[in-house]
Amino acid sequence: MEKIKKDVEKIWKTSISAIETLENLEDIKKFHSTNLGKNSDLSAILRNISKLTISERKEIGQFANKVKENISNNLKQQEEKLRQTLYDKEDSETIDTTISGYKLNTGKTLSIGSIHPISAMIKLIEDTFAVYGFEIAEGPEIETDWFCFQALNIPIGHPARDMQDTFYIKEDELLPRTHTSSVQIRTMQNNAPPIRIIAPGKVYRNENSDSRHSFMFHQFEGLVIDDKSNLKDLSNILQGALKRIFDNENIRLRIRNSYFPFTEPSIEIDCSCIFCDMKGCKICSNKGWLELLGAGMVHPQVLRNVNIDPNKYQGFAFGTGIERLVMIKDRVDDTRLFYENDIRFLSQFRNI
Amino acid sequence: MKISLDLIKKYTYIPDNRNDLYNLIDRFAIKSVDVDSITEYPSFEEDILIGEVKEIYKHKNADRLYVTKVDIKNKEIQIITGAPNVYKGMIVPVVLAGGKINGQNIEKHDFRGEISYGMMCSEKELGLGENHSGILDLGSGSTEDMLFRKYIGKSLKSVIKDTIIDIDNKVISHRGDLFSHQGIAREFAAIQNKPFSEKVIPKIRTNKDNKLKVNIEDKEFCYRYCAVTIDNLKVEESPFWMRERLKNLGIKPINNIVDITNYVMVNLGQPLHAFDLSKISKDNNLEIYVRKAKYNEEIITLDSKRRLLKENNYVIATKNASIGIAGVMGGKESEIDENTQSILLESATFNSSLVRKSAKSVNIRSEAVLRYEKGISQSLALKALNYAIDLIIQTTNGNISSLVTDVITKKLEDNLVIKLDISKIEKVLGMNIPINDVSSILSSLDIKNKQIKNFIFATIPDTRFDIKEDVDLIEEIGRIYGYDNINIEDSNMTIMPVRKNLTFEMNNKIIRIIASLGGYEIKTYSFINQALMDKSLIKNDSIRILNPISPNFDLLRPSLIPSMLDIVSTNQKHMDSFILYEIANIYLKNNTIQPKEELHLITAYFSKDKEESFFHIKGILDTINLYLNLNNTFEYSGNPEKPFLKNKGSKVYISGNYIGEIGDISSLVKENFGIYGSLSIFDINIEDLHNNIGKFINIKNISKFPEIKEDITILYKNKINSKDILDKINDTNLKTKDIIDIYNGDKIKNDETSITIRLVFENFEKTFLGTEIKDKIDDIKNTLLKEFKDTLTFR
Repeated sequence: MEKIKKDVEKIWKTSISAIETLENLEDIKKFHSTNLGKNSDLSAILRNISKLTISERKEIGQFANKVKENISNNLKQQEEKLRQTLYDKEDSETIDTTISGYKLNTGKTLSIGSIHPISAMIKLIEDTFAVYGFEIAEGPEIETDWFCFQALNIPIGHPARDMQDTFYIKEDELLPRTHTSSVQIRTMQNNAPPIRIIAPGKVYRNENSDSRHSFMFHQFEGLVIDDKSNLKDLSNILQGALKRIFDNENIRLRIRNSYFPFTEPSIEIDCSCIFCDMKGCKICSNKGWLELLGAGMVHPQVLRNVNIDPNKYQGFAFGTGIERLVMIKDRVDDTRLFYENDIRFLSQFRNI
Repeated sequence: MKISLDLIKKYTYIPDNRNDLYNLIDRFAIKSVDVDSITEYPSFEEDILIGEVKEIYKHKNADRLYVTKVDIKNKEIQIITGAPNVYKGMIVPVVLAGGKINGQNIEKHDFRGEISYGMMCSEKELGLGENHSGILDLGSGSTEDMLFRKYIGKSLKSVIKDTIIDIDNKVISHRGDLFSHQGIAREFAAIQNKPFSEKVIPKIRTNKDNKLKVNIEDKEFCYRYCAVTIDNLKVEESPFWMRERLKNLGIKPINNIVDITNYVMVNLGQPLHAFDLSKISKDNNLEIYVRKAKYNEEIITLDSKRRLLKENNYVIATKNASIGIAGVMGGKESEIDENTQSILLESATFNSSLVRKSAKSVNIRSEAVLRYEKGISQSLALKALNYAIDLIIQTTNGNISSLVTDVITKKLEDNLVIKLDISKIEKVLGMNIPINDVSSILSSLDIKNKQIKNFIFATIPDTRFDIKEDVDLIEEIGRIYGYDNINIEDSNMTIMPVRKNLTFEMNNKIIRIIASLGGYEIKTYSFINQALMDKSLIKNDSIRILNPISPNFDLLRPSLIPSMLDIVSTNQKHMDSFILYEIANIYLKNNTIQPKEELHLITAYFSKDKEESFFHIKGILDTINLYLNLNNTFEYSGNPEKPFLKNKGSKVYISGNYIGEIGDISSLVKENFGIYGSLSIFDINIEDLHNNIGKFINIKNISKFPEIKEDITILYKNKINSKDILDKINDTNLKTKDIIDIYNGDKIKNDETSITIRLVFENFEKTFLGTEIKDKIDDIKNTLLKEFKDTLTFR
């Protein structure tokens, strides 16, 4: 019995000192199973005490359990100590959070790309006018003379044709459209009033490229036909729309007289300069106003051309260059940049 | 077109105060015609005065000098001059000692005993021209239009001061009446609500009775032809004021006769032409014909160019020869020169669109064409002729040698009367304009009007071709009253629901998906050239533009690939790898009039490394497939066309329909574009893709029991492909089967590929037993071995 007691004491002693050397949580787990589990030396001793008397067994049993409890407590303490060290260590570790998050991975294409500013502006226009009930309408880019000119009250040989330099596929017959106004005709031909559409798209003019002109550019056209919409409603919608497009609540409009064969009255709409609040700046050439849109009440002859009765229906149309809107809003000063497609330019439009 | 506000003053009020003037120009730009620029004239100093030479005699001690006494009102000063053209009574520009000219101080000066207290100036010294041969003679050729004699002692600048505005022709291409100072003056009068006085043109009396015979052969073309002959005139330089006026309006002064025709034209808008009579007629029986040109008839025009005429040209001719292209440009042979003594003066009304066609076919844009093509009132022809005759007689001492001939082939129509429903004004403009204002606005624009009940009956003057119906009148009322009176607060438009545009919605989605995957959206020109097509090895037929802006852009592109290759090439200098994409139409030849426009999506992945770029591009296409919620998946089979490598790419299908190609680009093409690196592209037709988009997403339940993942690695001969293998892997509990690794490097044969497939099993009823999965894997392997006996092994 004394031997057994000594064995237990020995196990106790070696265990306690062994526990102090344990250095990680994995070892603690292992130690627990080898020294305290069913297959441990301590358990083996306890299994072999059948030869002893009941009181001896009781004594050894109590002693062994006390030892077991003590070892277990020591182990727990050691574990606690180790965990604390780990937490402390983790706490002392540092990351330099000023280092760029994604560039370390890149040079590659792991970064996000960009949407072309023209696409982004078209989407903004689309969303803005949807609020006022405008649907998107489309038409072909290569258009017949009738849809692009004649139906719009510009007969063959009309001086107004000189207002737009036209490319031809076949003279006076087929051409890359010079404006999105052709979509007005296609829409009115296929739909009965009330009509409210926005038609964005590519247009083509035979003029030399410079910082403000490109032979291909984008326009959008708006059209409203019903029994009562007038210049007041046009001004109201455009003022609201421009406030949203330019993200500026103080926008005011100015209407000037103008001429388009397909509207009567025809007007130009200027918007107060969004950069200087009409004090005059470089963007508005010190005028305080930005020339923005052509517009007007749809000409009765145009309505007659698409079999809509001008005595019953009226409405307005408006349109402008989409590049121009981007150039104003994002201060791009050369329209050619939109078509050079240099990633160093494109990647600046972080507008996904 | 340039407009002289000083000339406008002859017709209506123009304020002298500079602020008021600029304010008026602003209102004119808003209510009438946009103004491109404003120029103030002249640029020389106020110090130059108008004087009269009262006395002149030779300098005693100097042969080439003269002593003059010049009157500058209440004061006579002595000026010594060497100019040969000074005479007693001459009106001259003078600078007194102490004054400045061209920034230089003029001092009094002793010329061999005679003191000069100032200087008389030449045109060159005033900075007005190159003429330095003598002192500028302000008095010569004076007419009522400009009498400098009245302004002795005044500053020359203050007398000839003018503000020139350059107006935007584009917005008045419907307003023939505005191509004249008289017409523009009418606008200034209306804007200010000031009176307008028409140019009073003296009646021309002639006692000559020799008739000028005018034969108008084409009555569709010529509505009215007025002409006269004038003899005994002297052709010389125009007076100073006339030359300056024309120069300021951008018209080059030629000689007194031509200048007068131009001066009348800018005043009234009616082009005139003068022919040298002796060059077109040898006797007194002049006959003029207005006729169609004969086919291949030749004429040398005033610009010295030989013109070959066609049947859509019209000429003015004598019996023997044509002497001018009617309404377009006169002939060189009958040009007025310094020896001309007699002229035929023409003022005619021609059909505007026929003049335009005629001018276009010979490619001439003259001041006359600019006006004729817009339409000119028939009533102007005789007025303009009389005005010109009057000016010529006043300045050249010539005399009228024929009757003033006036042939009219088209009866002057009664003025149009338009009935305007008063309530429609507000209905269109959205502003309520008092009826008195409506009436006075119309009157100020020379539109007579009277109100009867709820209507206004407006009589349109014959100069206003543009006013045809009631809305045209409403525009006149609206713009003059002022659109700034619109109160947008009262607008109340009804709400309308918006239907989706499926194509736009899909495009927006695709654009965002690819940008999120790192792509940069590009936009390239729709026009390309054959060389770009050839470099790309693309053979498609393309449509040609008749009048390209340059040979680089003469085709409508039948493919997006060439432009993409071009842009990849320019960007590789700045980035090691990138994704570019574009959505745009291509244009294909078609049986109908219009070409077929097909909406395409092209995406390119470029990398300087030798890494495989193909799966990047394929990954993007697969992502689009997934996130567009397409009902069917893209299918890949068959070899793609050039510029794709035939074994490193395939055609793309959806629901069995061919939509495009995907693959690596051949090195030949890459070299053609100077692209150095790996490059893969897909180019698909998305025209009808939106029809495949599912309206709903079918959400599946999630199992409560754990999923089991098992990977199997397969080595197969390239006779078969991964799709064949995946198609044969089936099990009721199989949730997904994805290829997670691929190898075709050096450790296996060239015609072999190794893939690892991850199988994920799920069970909605219970947790899988280990043996169940093992059995399933074994079954799958056995099926594959049976199916692909000699072509596949497991590793």
